[in-house]
Amino acid sequence: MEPPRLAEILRGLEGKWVALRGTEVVAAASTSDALFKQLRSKRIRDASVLRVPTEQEHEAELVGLG
Amino acid sequence: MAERRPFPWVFPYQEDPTSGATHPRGRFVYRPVVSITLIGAEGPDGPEESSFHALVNSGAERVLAAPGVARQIGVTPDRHDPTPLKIGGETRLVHPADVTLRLAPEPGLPGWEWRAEVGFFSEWTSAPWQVLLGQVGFFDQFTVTFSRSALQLAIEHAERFDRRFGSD
Repeated sequence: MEPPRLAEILRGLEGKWVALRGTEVVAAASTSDALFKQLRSKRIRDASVLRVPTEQEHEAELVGLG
Repeated sequence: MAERRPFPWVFPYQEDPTSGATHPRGRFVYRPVVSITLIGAEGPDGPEESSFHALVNSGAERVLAAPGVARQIGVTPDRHDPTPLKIGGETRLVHPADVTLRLAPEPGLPGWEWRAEVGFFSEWTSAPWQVLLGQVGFFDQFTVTFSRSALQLAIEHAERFDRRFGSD
C-alpha cells in the first residue's frame, strides 16, 4: 500500500494550517484559530488538522520537534 | 450505531509535507502518523473535540501536544505543574491536563477512547503534527507494530503482546 502523496497535495499551502479528510483538503487558513473557526462554521467534524511547513522550513528534514 | 471494527487496525504511513520535490535532497519521507481525536471540556453542543495528525513516537515518554490543541478543545493545562523536557538540545516546558483521546480505524467510524495526561507545550513551532503519541498514554493502551518495509503500522489490544510472546 503506497502512502498518498501528501507533499504534492499540500504544495502551495506552505505555512498554512490545513484540515484533511483522507487526502482531500477541506479547509485551510493562516492560523489554527481561523482554521477551527472555519471547521465549526462548516460543521466539519471528521477532518484532521496539521500545519504545512513554510518554504524555509522545507530546507531541512525534521528529526525532532523544533 | 455501527460496532467498533475489531483489531488489528492497520494504518498506512503518511508522507511528510517535506518530501520528494519539497525535500532539500529530494528524498521521500514517510512517518507513522495517525489521526487522533482529543476530547476536552463540555461545550454548548457537547464535548469540545478536534482531530489532529499525530506522530506515533515510541521515543517520547508521554503524549505531548501543541498549546493550540488545548485551546481548541477547551482545556486549561496546569500552569503550576510544569515538566521541563529536552528537545533538540533545548529545554521546553510542558503543562499537564487530563483529556480523553480517541483513535478510530477510519474517520467517522467508532473508535477506542481512553483518558490520559497530555503534556501541552508552552511553545511549538514548525512541526506539521500537533500531537506526539508516546509511551505513557498511547503505547500503554495498545500493542503497536511498525513495518517500515510495508510503510504501515498495526494497532492491537495491549494484551496481544503477551499472547504473542508469552511475557506474563
